[in-house]
Amino acid sequence: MPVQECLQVIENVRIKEDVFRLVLSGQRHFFLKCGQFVNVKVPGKALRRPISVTSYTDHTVTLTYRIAGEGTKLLTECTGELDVINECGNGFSFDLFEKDILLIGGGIGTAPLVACAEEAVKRGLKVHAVFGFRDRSQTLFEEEMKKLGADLHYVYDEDGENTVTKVRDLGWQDMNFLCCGPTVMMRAADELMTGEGEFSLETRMGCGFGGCMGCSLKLKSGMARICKEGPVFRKGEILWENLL
Amino acid sequence: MGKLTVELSGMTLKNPVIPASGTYGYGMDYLDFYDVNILGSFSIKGTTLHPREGNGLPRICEYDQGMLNSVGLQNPGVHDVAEKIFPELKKVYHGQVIANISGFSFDEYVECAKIMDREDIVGILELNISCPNVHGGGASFGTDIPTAVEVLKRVKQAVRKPVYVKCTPQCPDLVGMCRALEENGADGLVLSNTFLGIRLDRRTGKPIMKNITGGVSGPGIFPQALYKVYQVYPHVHIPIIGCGGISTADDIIEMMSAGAAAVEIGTLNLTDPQRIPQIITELEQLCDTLHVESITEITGRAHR
Ligand SMILES: Cc1cc2nc3c(=O)[nH]c(=O)nc-3n(C[C@H](O)[C@H](O)[C@H](O)COP(=O)(O)OP(=O)(O)OC[C@H]3O[C@@H](n4cnc5c(N)ncnc54)[C@H](O)[C@@H]3O)c2cc1C
Ligand SMILES: Cc1cc2nc3c(=O)[nH]c(=O)nc-3n(C[C@H](O)[C@H](O)[C@H](O)COP(=O)(O)O)c2cc1C
Ligand code: FES
Repeated sequence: MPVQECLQVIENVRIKEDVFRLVLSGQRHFFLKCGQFVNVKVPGKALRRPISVTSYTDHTVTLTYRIAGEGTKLLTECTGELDVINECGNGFSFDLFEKDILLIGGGIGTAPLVACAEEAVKRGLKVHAVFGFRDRSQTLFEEEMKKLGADLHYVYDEDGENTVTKVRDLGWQDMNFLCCGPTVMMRAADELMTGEGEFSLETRMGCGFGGCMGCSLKLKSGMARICKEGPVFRKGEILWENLL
Repeated sequence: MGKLTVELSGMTLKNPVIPASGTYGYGMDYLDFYDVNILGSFSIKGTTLHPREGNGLPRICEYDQGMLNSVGLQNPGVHDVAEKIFPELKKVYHGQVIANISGFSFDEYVECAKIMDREDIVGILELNISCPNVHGGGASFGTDIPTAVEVLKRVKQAVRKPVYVKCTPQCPDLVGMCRALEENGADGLVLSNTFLGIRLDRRTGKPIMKNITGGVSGPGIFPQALYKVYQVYPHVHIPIIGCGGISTADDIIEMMSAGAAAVEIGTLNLTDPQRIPQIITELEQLCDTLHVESITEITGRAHR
């Protein structure tokens, strides 16, 4: 359930040329799930910026954000307290997984999958992952994923590789999976995968908690708000042409 | 009766603060933030006779002082609202709502209004003749006086509840429009809806929103919205609900000074969902500072 609150900035540091890690903490016991997002008020900007949860504990939440424009640039300067709406969205469900889980991520879309890997390990699942980036300098979450014992494969555009093709080459297309990344990548994954899975979608949001219908997407089953019924939707539900 | 109590055509509101249509869903999404029963009332998402899917994504963009939206009146249709949503809403909200009604033909407005008129949870019918998003729809009703009057007259004949008309600031003769609406039976006015605008992607130079244009709202439109109320107030006798860019208790006092009997607040709910309860408290304190026994004394004081 969305909660508007002020959280303390514990850390807001550059981890790659244009990627920052933001750690926030609060007094309240958080009820977060992986795949949920935090809608961050950036001073000077009218609308909040939705950022997925990379990791969380009872009282802290870690976000990883890429400088995409003015808002995220301003965010790099934030210290002290941040006004956020915490616990937004539905999050991934884990009912698809018995022994193994496959995480397919592209670019900054790998961020929510780290929380998924943590959750998977807690549930005793073996984590397999294919993460794609533009080039080696962009690589994210190598240490985090290694610590979790993930069977992790990186692919790079600079090598002419493709995340989804890699999944096929590994023979993993029949595994059940979670996926987040650029829309074209997710659509390709949807086409390839024969296993069941879920995708985390994004669009520009007015509120992030269901108030404005600004993020509503037509699915096969009807209209759904990406911020409230989503951002995570089941494979087979998504009409990709409505996002492109 | 508290200091903040206001009356709109027989409907008593415990305060003049009304979340605006399209920024408050059907109230339910705000229960996570506070008890919606503290409100004077709220205006539900623009409802049409038939379900509407609205415009494609992206539907939202931003400017320094607010936002643009091209939601395009997505709603489940008046039958679902009356049969499915209202029963749920009644479990948590004990006041009456303002039913925002849109249409693309005279008949559609009338049929939709008739159904809303039967619902005891509806206090006032708010005819949205101003939604700028739908091609060939809203905007033409709101900018042409004879068309707007015709919609109003037909709806008035079909219903018993008070009918307020929510005008578009795009109307070239807003004073003339409002006078004509009053003469033809409008019980009140809502001034006003969003201004039409556009944003372009800095990199590609192309429109950001799928619908190309959208309604501009938020703090950046406050002076213009305030002026609409200031301009119209001396020419009408029916209550005006002031709307556009309000984000503080001071803004409410200013809007009421210009002539508003109550206010609608939109974008603020989206950017700062917990703000309205604080504003209601601050408004009460402002009445003390201004030494007024009843906030109704503020209405129109700019003109006295
Ligand atoms: C559910 C969800 C989870 C996300 N998780 C992450 C994450 O973990 N890390 C990360 O770096 N980014 C994430 N994003 C994308 C992030 O929200 C945008 O990069 C960010 O809003 C851009 O803001 P800006 O001011 O820097 O860019 P600008 O282009 O200047 O932003 C202008 C407006 O468009 C919106 N906008 C622009 N790009 C996007 C986008 N891709 N998605 C949604 N809104 C956008 C902004 O919020 C703002 O309202 C997520 C988006 C969503 C919807
Ligand atoms: C996302 C969004 C959706 C809206 N939908 C409607 C609508 O369905 N009907 C309507 O009459 N006005 C609609 N409006 C206009 C608002 O009710 C209000 O008139 C306008 O936003 C100006 O007020 P503000 O500056 O306080 O937001 C919408 C506004 C926004 C931002
Ligand atoms: S962003 Fe407002 S409903 Fe989803």
